[in-house]
Amino acid sequence: MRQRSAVFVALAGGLLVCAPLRAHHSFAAEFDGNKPVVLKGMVTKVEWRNPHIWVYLDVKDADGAITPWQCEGGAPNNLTRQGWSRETLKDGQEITVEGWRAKNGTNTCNASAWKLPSGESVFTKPAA
Amino acid sequence: MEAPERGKRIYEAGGVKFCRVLALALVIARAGALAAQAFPSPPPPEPPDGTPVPHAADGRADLSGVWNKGLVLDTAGPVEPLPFTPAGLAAFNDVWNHIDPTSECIFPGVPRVNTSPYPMQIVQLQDKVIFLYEYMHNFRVIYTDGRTHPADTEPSLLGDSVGRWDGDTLVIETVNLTDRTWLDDHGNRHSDALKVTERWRRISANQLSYQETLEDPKFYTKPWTVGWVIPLAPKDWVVMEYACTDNNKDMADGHLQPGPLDGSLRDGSAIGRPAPPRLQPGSAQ
Repeated sequence: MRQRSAVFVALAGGLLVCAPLRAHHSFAAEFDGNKPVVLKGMVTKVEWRNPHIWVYLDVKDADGAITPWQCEGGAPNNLTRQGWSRETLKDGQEITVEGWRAKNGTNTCNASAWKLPSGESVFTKPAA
Repeated sequence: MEAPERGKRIYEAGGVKFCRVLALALVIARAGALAAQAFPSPPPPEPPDGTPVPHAADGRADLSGVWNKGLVLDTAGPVEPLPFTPAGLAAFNDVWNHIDPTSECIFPGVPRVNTSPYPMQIVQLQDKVIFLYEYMHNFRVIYTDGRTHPADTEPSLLGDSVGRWDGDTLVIETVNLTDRTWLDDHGNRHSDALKVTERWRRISANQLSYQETLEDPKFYTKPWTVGWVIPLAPKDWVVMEYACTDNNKDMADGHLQPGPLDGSLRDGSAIGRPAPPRLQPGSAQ
């Protein structure tokens, strides 16, 4: 079992590198695969609607200045079938988002990983 | 492999191959576990698993059920290079000047509706078979009562489809399609002369064989056929709401850019020479 998990992790890790293959909705056109971004912030709003979920977060820099960001996630129907819901992320919750920036330079990202302070990942695999 | 480089490096020939193999391996490794399936090109052929094919009251094999249809990015993968006419090649390259119609919530059309993401439900009745697609809430009512295509109707996104049974295989012929839809995320194109023949056959309780033959003399010098197997969805799956315009920020906020949705995968790999450079945002469409 442990071996299978290890294989799974390796494959999943590899697939992140190939993220545009998974992304249907115009990742390649809108987001820049050469501009990875890691955002640590506080969730201000979750839109659990088609065609893709959007999570809004306030990101605080070293000086305490706050910059609002918006990050696009997966299809809500797929996420629901994997056991996730609108309640998975609560407003005010701290989260780290890894993804790629929009080509148009706005504070918009396409997320490849969502991590809670506990280290738990959400949305990127079936819910436990 | 470091992520920042992938835009340039992964899409070199070896990278593409690696990603395709990896994505496929992942899909297989996680078969049934994940809701979303995505295939860079059609999945490999698959033998029946031996479970009995259910039959309807009239004795015919029953296609009814919710099927976990997956996204196929480049549907023509196995038959590339495609036999382009000059007009077909021009249309293929012209993709860089247009936004994918599905990004703007235009129906995928036939046959792309079968290779778009998310499940579909088939309801088989004695004189018709109904396809209910989650993606964009498309539906198709395929009559199998012997009727023929109506004359003189306006071309449409889903075209005009008639069905017939060839033994236990449902054969659907679709004509009268507009040229406004694309064939897939790869930006393969078709003209308004396209005729699509689908062959649907349940090969076991859990597997639905799908085959599409495309005939389009304006864009291709000869027809081609691709096919694969679609798995039955888990028992508790239903077709869910999918409203493309509900909260489509990519479209509403003007983020969309021209070119194929699978992006750099397209670079020259299908036609043996580089695609034209992508236009800058705002200068096209």
